[in-house]
Amino acid sequence: MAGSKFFERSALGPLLDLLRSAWKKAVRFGEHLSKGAADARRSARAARGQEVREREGATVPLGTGDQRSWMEGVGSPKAAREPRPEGFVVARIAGEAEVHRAPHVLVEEGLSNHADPSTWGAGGGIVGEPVGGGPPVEASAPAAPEGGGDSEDLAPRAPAPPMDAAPPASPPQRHQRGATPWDEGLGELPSAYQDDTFLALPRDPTTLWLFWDFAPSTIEEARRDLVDPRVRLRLFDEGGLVREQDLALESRSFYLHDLAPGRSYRAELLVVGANGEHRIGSPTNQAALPPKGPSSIVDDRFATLPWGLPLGGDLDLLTHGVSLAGIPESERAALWAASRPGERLGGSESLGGGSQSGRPWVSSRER
Amino acid sequence: MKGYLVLQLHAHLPFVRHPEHERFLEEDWLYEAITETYLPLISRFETLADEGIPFRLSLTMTPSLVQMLRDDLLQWRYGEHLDRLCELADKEVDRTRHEPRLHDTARFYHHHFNHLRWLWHERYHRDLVGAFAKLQDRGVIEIITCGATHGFLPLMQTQPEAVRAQIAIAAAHYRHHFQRDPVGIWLPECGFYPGVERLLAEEGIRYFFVDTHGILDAQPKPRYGVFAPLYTPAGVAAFGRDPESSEQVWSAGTGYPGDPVYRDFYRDIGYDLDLDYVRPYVQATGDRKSTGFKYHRITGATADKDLYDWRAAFAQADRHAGNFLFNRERQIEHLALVMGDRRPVVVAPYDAELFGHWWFEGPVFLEMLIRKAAYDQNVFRLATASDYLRENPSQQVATPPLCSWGAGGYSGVWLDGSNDWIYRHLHRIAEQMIALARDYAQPTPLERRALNQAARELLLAQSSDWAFIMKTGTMVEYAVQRTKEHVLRFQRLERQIRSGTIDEGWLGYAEGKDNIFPELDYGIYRPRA
Repeated sequence: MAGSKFFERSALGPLLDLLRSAWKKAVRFGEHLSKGAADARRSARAARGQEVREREGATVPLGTGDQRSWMEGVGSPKAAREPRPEGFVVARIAGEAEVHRAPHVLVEEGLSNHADPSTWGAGGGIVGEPVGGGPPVEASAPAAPEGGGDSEDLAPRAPAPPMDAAPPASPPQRHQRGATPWDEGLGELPSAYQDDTFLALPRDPTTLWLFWDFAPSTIEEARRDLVDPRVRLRLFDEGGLVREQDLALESRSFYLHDLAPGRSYRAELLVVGANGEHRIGSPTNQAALPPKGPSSIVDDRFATLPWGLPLGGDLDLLTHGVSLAGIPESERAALWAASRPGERLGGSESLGGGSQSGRPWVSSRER
Repeated sequence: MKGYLVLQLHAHLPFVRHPEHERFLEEDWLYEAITETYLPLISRFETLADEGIPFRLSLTMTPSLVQMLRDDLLQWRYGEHLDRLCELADKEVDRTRHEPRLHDTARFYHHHFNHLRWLWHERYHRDLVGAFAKLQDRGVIEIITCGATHGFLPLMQTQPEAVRAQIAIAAAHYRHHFQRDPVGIWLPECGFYPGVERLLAEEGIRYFFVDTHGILDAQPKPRYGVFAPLYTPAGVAAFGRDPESSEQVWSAGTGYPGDPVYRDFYRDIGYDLDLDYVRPYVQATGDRKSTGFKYHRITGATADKDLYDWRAAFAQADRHAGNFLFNRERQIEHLALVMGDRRPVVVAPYDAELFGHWWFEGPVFLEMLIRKAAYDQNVFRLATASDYLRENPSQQVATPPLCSWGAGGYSGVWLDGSNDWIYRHLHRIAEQMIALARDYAQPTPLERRALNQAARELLLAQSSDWAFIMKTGTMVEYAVQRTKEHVLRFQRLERQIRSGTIDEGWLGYAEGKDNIFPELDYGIYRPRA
C-alpha cells in the first residue's frame, strides 16, 4: 500500500486516476452496449477521460461531473417517483414560475409516470387517489355516517411504539410513504359530513368561493312536493339579489367570478319547481370581498399611541383619531407613484421586467 | 438622518419531523436551511455585534421553526447531517486535487462545513433559538412571531376561535422561548383581513406587515403611501412592503441573485457525479438529491455552466450591497423631501432562506450592507418596526383590505382548484375543536391529553404550506398525506373523546409524533361569551 501512496503523491498520480476512471467507465461502456450506438459513442468518450460538450465541442475539466448524468438511470426524471425535494423551497423563495423553469424536475407534471400513481411502488403514495385532489363528489370513499366516524377504528392495531425513544436502528429508509413502522390504520377521509354546512369564502376582489355539505334529509325536505325540481343559486349583496343561476348540487362547491369588489355577499341554494321553491338549509355567512385599487375616501385622521400604551381589544381609533388637513394632491400622487414602481410583487411569484416607470428617483444596478 | 430602512427576514419552515423514519427527505428542508441560512446569519450577526457595529434587523421565527430547532431528535439528526457533509468535504478535497479551480472550491467547502460544525456543536451547543435570542437580548435583532402553524388566516375568518388560537398559541410559544412578549407578528403569507387586528391587540402585538397594496388600498386613502405605517382602528400598526427594494433583491429576472458570478443553485454533485460516489449522500433509494456541493456559477441562460469562483462571487455581493445602499439613500432622500416633516420608512421584507439557501452569497450581502449602512452613509438608519413606532407615535388611521403577498395579492394561491378540497375538512374539524373546548371544561387528565393532541392535529393540518405545495405542484403527495393524516388523527381523537374510549397507547404515539407545542392548552378554542 505504501507503493500505492507513493504513486498517488508522485507525478504518476493523475495518470493513475485517469486509468482508474477509464477502467470504471469502460466497464460501464460494456453494460450500455445494448443501448445503441449513440450511447456507446458517449461512453467511449468517457472512457478516454474526455467528456465533451456536445454543442460546443469544448473540453470540460475533469471532475466537474456531467450535467446530463441526472437525466439517466436511477433517480432520473423517468424513474423518479416524485419531484425533487427542493421544489418547495424554490417555489416559496423564488416563485412558482421558477419551479417550471428549473433544470430539474421540481413539479409533478415533469414526471414521466405522473399519470400512474400506482407505479410508485410499495409504500409509495396514497394509492388510488389523484395527486393534488381531495375527495371530490365522485370519490369512492363511503360517506360518513351521521355524527362522523369511519371504518378505520375496526382495523386491528399493533401496540404503540415508544416515540420518545431513540430513533430505530434499522438501515436508513428514505422517504417511505404510507408504510410507517406502526400502521395507524387511519383510513381515508370521509367524502362528506352531511352537516348542512354552507360557507362563503372570499378569494379575491371579484371571486367568491362557496361550498356546501347538506344532509340528504335537508335536500329531501327542500325537494318535497315540488314538480320538476332543479337547484338554483341566488347571490345577494347589501342591495339585494345580484345573481341567480342553476347549478348541480353534486358539485359541492362553486366559484362565483366577476363580482363587484369591496361588497359583502350572501348566497342561498334553493330547489325550484314548477309549483314553487324551497330553500336548502340556511344561507351562507356574509362574506366581504376586498376592494380593488385605492380608496376614494380621503380622510387624514391621525392618532398618537405612545409605545407603552396597552392596546385594548375595544379601541377604535377611527372614532377617536385627530383629523389633519389633507396634503396637496400632487404630493400624494408622488408618494403613490413611489409606492408602485412596477407591477405588484407576490411572495410566490417573481417580478419580471423591472419596470422603473413612475419611480421618481434614479436607481441603478451599478453604482 | 432622514429616514429608516427596516430589513425584515421571515424564517419559516413547516413542521417536518418524522421520528417514525430514520431519515426522511422533507427533514432536509430544515437541515439545508440551518446549514445555508440560519448558521451563517447568526454567525455574521454575532461578528457584527462583537465588533460594535450599530445595526438593527427584524426576524420572524415561526413557532413551527422554533419548535423544530429546539427538538432533541432533529438536533441530533442535524448533527449527523453535518457529519456527512464534512465527510463528503474530505472526499471532495481528495477527488479534486488535480483540478486547481475545483480544488480551491472544494477546500472552501471543507473549511465552510467544518466551521459550521464547530459553530453548531461548540459555539451554539445545537441551540440556534438560544443563539438568536441572545442576539435579541444584545439589541441587534428583534424577533417577531407568526401564526402558530402558519395557517392562512383570511380563509379561517368565519371561525374566529381558530384564528385566535393561531395567534394566541404563537404568542404563548414566543413567551416561553424568548422570555418576553412578542411586539410584532408576520401574519402567515402576509394574510390580513379586517378584524384580525383586534385579535392581535388582545395579545399585545403592536405591528404586522402587509404587501404593498395592503397599504395603498386601505381605507381611507393613506397619506404617505407605503412609506409610513397605518394604525388600524385597534391601534396595531400595519407596515407595507416597499416594492423597489424588494425587486432589487427578490426578482428572479433583475435581482442581484441572478448575477452570472453567483453560485448556481441547481448544479450539484448529487446530480452530476457518478452515483456510486455520491450514493451515501443522496437518498438511500438511489434517487439523487442536492448535497450542497456546487461547483458552477449561474453563468447565464445556458446549460453549460462555468466554474464557480467564491472569491469573485463574494466580491460581487459586496458591490451589490453598495448598490443597494446607494439606491436606498437616493430613495429615502427623495421621500424625505416629499414627506416634509415626516421621516419615511422603507420596509424591505424577504424570506430569510433567500439569503444563503437560494442566494448562496446572500449572507455576505447582508453583512456588507450592514457595515456600509453603519459607516458609509448618514441618510438612513437600520431600524425595526418597533424602533420606528417608538420614535414616531403619531400615524394615520386606516384599515387595510383583505390581502396577502401571494401571487395575485389575495387568497388565490391557497384557494384554488388544486387545493380547495381541504377547506371542507379544515372547517369541519375546527368546528369540532371549538365544540370540544366548549363541552369539556373540566376534563380528566387523559381527556386533557387527548384534547390537547386534537388541537395540535388541527393546527398542523391548517399550515398554509400544504395548500401552497398543492398549488405549485411540487411535493404534492407529501402535502396531501400530511393534510389527511392530521385531519384523520383529529377525527379519531374526537370520536374517542366523545365516546369515552381514548386509546392511551395510540394517543402516546400521536403525542410523540406530532409533538409541537407541548405546553398548549386546548381551552383557547373555547367560544367567548
